Amino acid sequence: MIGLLGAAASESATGIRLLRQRIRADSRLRRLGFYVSLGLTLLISLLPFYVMLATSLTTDDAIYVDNPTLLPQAVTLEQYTVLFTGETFAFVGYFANSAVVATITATFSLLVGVIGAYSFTRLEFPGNTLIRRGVVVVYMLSAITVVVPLFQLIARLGLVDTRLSLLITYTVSTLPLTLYMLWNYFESIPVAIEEAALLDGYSRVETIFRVVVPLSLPVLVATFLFAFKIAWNEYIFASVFLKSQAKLTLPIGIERMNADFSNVWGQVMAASFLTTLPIVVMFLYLEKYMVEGLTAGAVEG
Amino acid sequence: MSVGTRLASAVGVDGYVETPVQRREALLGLLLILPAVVLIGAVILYPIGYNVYLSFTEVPLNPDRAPEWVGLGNYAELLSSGRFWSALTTTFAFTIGSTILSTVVGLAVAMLFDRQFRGRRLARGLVLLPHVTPIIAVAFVWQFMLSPLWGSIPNLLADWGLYSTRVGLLEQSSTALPVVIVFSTWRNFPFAFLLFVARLQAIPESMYEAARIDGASALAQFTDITLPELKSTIAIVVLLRFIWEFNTFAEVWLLTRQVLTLPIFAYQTAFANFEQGLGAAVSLLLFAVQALFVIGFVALFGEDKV
Amino acid sequence: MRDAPSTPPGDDGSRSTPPGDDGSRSTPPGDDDPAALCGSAVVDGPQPRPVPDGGSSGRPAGGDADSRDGGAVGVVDFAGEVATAGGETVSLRALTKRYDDEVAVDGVSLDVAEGELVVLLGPSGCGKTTTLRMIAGLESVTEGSVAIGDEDVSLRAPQDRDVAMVFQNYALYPHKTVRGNIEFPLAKTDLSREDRRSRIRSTAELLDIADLLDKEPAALSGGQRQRVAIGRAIAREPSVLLMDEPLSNLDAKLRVRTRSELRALQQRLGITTVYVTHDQEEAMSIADRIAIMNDGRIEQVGTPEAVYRDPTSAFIAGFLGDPSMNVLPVDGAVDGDAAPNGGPTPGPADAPGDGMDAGAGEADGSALVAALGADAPDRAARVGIRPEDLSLVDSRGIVGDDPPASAVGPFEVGLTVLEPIGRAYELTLDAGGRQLIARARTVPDELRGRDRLAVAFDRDARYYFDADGGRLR
Repeated sequence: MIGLLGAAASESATGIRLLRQRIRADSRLRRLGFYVSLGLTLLISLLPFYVMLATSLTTDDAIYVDNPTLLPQAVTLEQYTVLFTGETFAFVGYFANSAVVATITATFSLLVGVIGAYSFTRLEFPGNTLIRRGVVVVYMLSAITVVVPLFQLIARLGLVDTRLSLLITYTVSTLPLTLYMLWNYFESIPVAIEEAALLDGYSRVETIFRVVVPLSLPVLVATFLFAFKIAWNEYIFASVFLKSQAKLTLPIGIERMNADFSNVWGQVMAASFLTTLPIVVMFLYLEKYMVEGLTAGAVEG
Repeated sequence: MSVGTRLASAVGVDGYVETPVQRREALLGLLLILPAVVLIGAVILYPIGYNVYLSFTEVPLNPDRAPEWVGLGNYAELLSSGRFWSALTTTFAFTIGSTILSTVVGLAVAMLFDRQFRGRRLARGLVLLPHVTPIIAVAFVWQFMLSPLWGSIPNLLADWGLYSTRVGLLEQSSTALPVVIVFSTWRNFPFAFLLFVARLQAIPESMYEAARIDGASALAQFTDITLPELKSTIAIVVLLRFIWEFNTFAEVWLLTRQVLTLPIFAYQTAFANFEQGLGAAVSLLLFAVQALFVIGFVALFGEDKV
Repeated sequence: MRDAPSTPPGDDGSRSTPPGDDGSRSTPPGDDDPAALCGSAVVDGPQPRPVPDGGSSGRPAGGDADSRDGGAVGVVDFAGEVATAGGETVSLRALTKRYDDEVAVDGVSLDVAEGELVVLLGPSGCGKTTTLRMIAGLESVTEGSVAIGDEDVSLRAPQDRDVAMVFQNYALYPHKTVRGNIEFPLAKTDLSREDRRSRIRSTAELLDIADLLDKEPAALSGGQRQRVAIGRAIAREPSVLLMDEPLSNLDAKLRVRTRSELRALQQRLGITTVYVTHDQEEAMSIADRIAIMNDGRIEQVGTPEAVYRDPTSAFIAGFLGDPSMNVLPVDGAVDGDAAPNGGPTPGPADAPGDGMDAGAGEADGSALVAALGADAPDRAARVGIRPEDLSLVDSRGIVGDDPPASAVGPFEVGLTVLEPIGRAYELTLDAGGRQLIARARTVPDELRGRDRLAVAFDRDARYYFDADGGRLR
């Protein structure tokens, strides 16, 4: 995820540079080839999403047929409405759970991340580099490594089937990324601005919250959204820690949906679509901020 | 001496600072990083340590009873288990396949995007969708599409005469693994794509122009200019993807039960069979492999390259 | 805010109070009514001081004023100018900064008087900025001390030193308006909201940025941002003002104009200022005294004239002045491509009328070099002469309105380049294989287009240096 961000970021930030103008110089054939390739790429990338949407808008009768077609035959919103009535599954509840958990996670992660990242960039203390390296290493670990012992610990603490277990776990899952994004950005803020604040009589902590944070708003938003996304999408911890229906988050809820009932594909697709939507919206919004966030820090004085 | 001073000396700050002001700042630095360190320590480092312990025990079903020590019993069981070895090979097959494919596809698409065209930004955003969507959503769509009864793909395949009847690709172990590899590629190529696109853009156009003037073909340009410039990016992509695919769980689990990778083996052992000690042993092995690659990565590239 | 009506010591400009090396000191006028300052509510800086005048009647301003001598007084007028009570002294004692094995600042000692503007001048890496930052508290002190007023502040945090700094790239708060920028430091003082507001207003007016108060830094030009940076620094009336190459980001013309404004402002406010720059022209034009630094040490401190006319080392001699002093080895035998030591000995200046055919030199100009090196004191290894002390000689004699009395020459040299630079000419000469630069205000027509010229020099305007670069007198 870091690489993703970094790559997208650097790409946008250097967007001022001209990309290769090969299209102009190409022959007709090459252009055709390009557009065909591009189209194919997009098709393959997006086909499942199309299917998701189309199926979610199709009536049950039209789904379970012998000859599935690509174009929805009978369009309907019933798959969606069923979700909201909660007859078959508590979709709204799942959605709420996910939203709450993700929001709190992202907020907390941001808070811890801001002070931690500031400390990494501006303050000198023994172990600074070591801890930083440690954070990068931790970022590369996967959930499966810790899920077994973590479950044991959670069970011993009596936190099974609680949102708290998720909050703690997710916060830590997002911390390396949060720290990394923030410290990268803080490093690009000219130190002189903070020194000016110090000379003006402000303590370090005051400087963090009254100078550095206001200056970093776009990046803070981006970091929040990335952390939110991680928490929102997460599957394995939720599946191990949560048991009762009331507590389920969307990924587990949808899985349960599929497992407990047969032939509810329409609703599963609808639920999937609704789960995906916030992330996609967030992501498109993020794109714009990523570019802004990077140039805002370049103010010379 | 004040508490702060004593604390500072305890932590070893003294050799580090020159003045009381610096000492105060060092203490503040430690204080501010403390929450993050405590959280990460408690939720990641401690469990890993605990995992080591657990792997030498058998954990009873009753949470109130303590785990009993079995020494290397779990490991012996694993190493003699056919299932374990089969999971290991499957994991390697899956990982290698997914890594290579997603890197190659990512590179190809990146090269496609390495030019100016209308709608480029939108297209780039769309290409990223497979990677950022919740795994549950995409996994189920694929399941649906591949379902022998209602899915469009088996239908298509049957129509094209590839199979006599509509086949459940995810339901046969012979075809499930390739399908999972394809899915993983689809899901993860955007990661490689982004890293490559950024790197490609940094290659000056003048290098290509010079080559073109010299009459180099497109292929020659690629092998002589592009590839060398991309070497380190390729290495990073491959390494990271390898580490992550080796340990991926949801990508396989949500698609099919026919593919047994080590993470799934660990999960099943721990949570389906309730053999947490054994599960711990498997995760520890996974961790060991992962740690090896991570250390290798950091040693090769340093922490700034992520 | 102060409400006392009174005329300010005002715009008389020239107000050098510091007891410099040469003791030159002009008494500031403004005896007017420092008493007006008593009872001023604002003060978070030093109390107003009596008018200095080496023992003047020093009417103590206000009952609780510390009457210090030599202080500068600022007063308010109806226009509500910012008034400061002047600055504190700054004393550096053996100030040293060490990084692992590198010594950035090596035993720097300096005294800055109240209201004085001292420039730390030197090439990059000489330690001037580090010294400045140690005064500010942004760098820790390895050894030595910094004192402001009478207090040793070496161990104090930057927040507690009552020092303000103008950074090279201004370091304005980008997310605040100009008003916000100036207000930020004021929020940490004891000023009431009212006082803050009027302080902001008067500072803005003083710096001519009043119409920019609601803009953000991104919308301002470089020069405007710089004013805001200065405003932010002086608004709270710090004891000491530090400036770290504040003009280097401005274009040349703006730089020249701004520096004189800066100087006027500083004098009017009487704030003790330490100013860092690598631009010797800038230093010469604004400083009360210059401290030239090289390699972490102060080489010489003195008024601009003093260091220019009487440098203590070859480094300083070469650093000041543009174009720099010509420095040649004595005897010509030191470096290799030397003029032969033989050759007709140059005598005292012939009657100026002799002009070109005096034949007093070798055609390759080596006579000039030899002449320059003649009469050198014993240990002299090098001799220097400033470009402006090399005069052209035409058929009528030495060119110029004011030919030096002790001129020696003429000597023939080659002319490589003749560059008009507006108000003067720079001539690149070739004397016996050595390149010399001469500066002349006019170049007579008969000398144009030639590739050989005759020059003379003022024998008393030479500087001698020993092998280590020390100045010999």
